[in-house]
Amino acid sequence: MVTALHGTWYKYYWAQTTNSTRRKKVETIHHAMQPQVHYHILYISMQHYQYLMLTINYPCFPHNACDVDDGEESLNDHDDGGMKENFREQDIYLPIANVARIMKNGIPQTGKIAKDAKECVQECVSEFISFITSEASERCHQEKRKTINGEDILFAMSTLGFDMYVEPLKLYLQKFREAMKGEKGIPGVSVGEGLGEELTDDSFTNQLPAGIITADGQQQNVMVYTTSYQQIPGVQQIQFS
Amino acid sequence: MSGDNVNHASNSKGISLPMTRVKMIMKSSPDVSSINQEALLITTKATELFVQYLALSSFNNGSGKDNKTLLYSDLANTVEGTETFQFLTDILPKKIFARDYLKLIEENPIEEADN
Repeated sequence: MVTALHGTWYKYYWAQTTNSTRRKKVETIHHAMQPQVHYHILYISMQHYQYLMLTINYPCFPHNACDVDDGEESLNDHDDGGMKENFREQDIYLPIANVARIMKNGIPQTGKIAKDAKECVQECVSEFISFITSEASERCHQEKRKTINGEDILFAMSTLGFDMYVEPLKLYLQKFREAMKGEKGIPGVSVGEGLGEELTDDSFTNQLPAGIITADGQQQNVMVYTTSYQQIPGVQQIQFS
Repeated sequence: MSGDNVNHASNSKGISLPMTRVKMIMKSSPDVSSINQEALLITTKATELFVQYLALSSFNNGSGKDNKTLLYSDLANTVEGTETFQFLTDILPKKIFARDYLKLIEENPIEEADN
């Protein structure tokens, strides 16, 4: 218990976003809290990095004398912690309604879910996706490829402790490919549709226009969601018109 | 004409998460240039499985058994106790009441770390 007082600490404040009050990380501090600064302590983590999450009760908190050292285990170092920090500031999440629905489907029917639990899982989801993606991306780079494919993802899952998903996902992928074969030539499966609904409250539109299949009836083996035209074996059966 | 839209809830693809948003998150990882369609699909499906797994583990693990509500603390406890979820530790740290924490530092004066 005592070790929680030492080590790496984080200071957060509560920020109001459109949907909820979300904590935002402000800085990493290495020393104990300053006695003269008002903190409202919410969390403490007993993990190897002793994270302390604090809220500042007033909107503009003072910059106190807590220097951010380049201590050994600082998450301001140029390691994964730094990346996480940058990522969190973007705050890209999946819609909470979708997340909550899936959670509900996972628990017994009579179960309820607290609101802050839903919000936290929403954040966990983004973290999970990033976690898998970076691992898959690394493998991809090692093999000098530019496009992350299904195998990279499955491999990442397996490496990161989610190997129990690999078989169900392979099965799912197989069924999907078969379904796509069956729908060959049938219009309507455009991945460009529905974009409008997803982007209403986002400003991350810059990446999307490129790589979307236009509904011009062309049947090509085009990679969806990429900006470059590539033909990858194994995906050629999947066609969208 | 959006009956089979891959972005809709519980569609014929069996996916209830918006793939465009999943893709955004994937692309926000550094050094990711492009993602093929299968990778996106698998990731989205895996995310669903992940959510269910996290929710159910936490529900079973915690006070949900009694009052049937999945709480933040259930999630935090599960993350702490499950190796697979260790990557979530800084998102789901455990809570401590302020008064307990203050008592703690009172009893254990804080040592200054080396500068």
